[in-house]
Amino acid sequence: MHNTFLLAVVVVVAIGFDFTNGFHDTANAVAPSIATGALKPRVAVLLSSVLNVVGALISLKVAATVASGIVSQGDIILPVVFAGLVGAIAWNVTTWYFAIPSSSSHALIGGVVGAMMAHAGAGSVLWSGIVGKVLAPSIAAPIFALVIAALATSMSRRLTRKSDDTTKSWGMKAGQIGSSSLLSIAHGTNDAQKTMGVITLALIANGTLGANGSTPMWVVLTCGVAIGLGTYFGGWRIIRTMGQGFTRLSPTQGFASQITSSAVILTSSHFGMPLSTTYVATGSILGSGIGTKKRSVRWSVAGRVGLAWLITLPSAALCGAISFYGAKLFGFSLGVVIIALLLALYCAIIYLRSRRDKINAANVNDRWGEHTEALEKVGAAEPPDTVHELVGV
Amino acid sequence: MAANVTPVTPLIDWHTLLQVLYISAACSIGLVLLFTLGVYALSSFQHKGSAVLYRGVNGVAVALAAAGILATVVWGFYYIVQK
Repeated sequence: MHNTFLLAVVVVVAIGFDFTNGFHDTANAVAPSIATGALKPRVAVLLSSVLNVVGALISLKVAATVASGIVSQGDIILPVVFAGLVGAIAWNVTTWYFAIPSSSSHALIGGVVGAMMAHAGAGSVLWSGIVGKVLAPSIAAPIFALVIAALATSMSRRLTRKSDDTTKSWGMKAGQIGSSSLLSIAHGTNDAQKTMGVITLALIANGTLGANGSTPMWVVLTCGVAIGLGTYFGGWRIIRTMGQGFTRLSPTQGFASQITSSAVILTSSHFGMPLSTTYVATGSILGSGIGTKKRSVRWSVAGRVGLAWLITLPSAALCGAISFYGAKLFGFSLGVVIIALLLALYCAIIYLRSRRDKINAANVNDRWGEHTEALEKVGAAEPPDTVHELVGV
Repeated sequence: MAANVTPVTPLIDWHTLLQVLYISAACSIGLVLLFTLGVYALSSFQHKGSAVLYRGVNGVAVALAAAGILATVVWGFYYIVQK
């Protein structure tokens, strides 16, 4: 009875994580398209959300669970999964409030690692896996994307220097719609399946599914819909940072950055190298700024985001560990309910605070520095007109 | 006497990381180049006053670039589905 109740709570929290994953990562696929006007904001998030659902449904081969090779699988119990998810949601919501694009997958890994350390000690964490599968790709991914996007943008800009502006703009925007769609579908396939993997793991741990049981269809459908809904709600704050904060994107830059993101993500996926979609997309956008004539990038904004990346794993791990200890303190059955309620309260407070300076489809493309919250203050001293003039291609 | 040597798995798989870099760089830059040439050709094609042959060549270039891009996008979707 207790196990079934615990399982139900884990499933609900996992679906909640999937939702936050959707709205947190919407920006990866749509920010450049919205920033350049290739797609209207609402149309962009609707298209992305539908394609995320499609991506979640078209491939039922659940990828290796997110914690595979990171923690000792034999030591995983339901409260660890629960606490890991709580840590990931708390970090996702916090970074969303501060408009920082950070990796949902790394938040989940961090949360699970923290909860696992609280449950079975540091020895249950496979540190070589953390370095090889998480840290090294995290550093490599944005650098790869940055270099490639800079080269692609620079080359494209030089080749179309004498082309008709209207044709160039129209062509690049059309290309952006295709690359944005590809990114959305890839995101749905990869990220929704991570949550499917977590729920499947919980079902197996509870004995509801056999050790080799396949993912039930209700899990596939629920995860697909959750990530799609999350995407549709649109993480406008993060879309704004990625579309306006790093650099002012032209259609040429937007196209080059999105093609680079798609190529890096699909290639790494082919080789089984788990790269963060967010880090790749951010690196591509920064690279497209470097590829312009004056290499115009707001490095102050990029620096703040980089700092957040550095603390994502330990912060989510800390949240995961605290959640595990909290749940254990009250006895797991009552404890998970109390922690889940505290998480809901925290999310509500963050949401209400975000309403003070609301970012939505109507003002997501405002010039950087016109809003007052969080990251917006960074780089605001840089005159927007100057940036526009420098980057204008 | 050859000692038994246990193969050591490297902590970081540099080989795969470099493969990702090379292949994604080739794909990205190749695609952007193809698309840019298509846009350039389209711009030239639309330019009134050009010779018929010049416009024809540009028209063919536009069609080839569009076909290449379309094929890549279709392959991308196919790859994701098959993965």
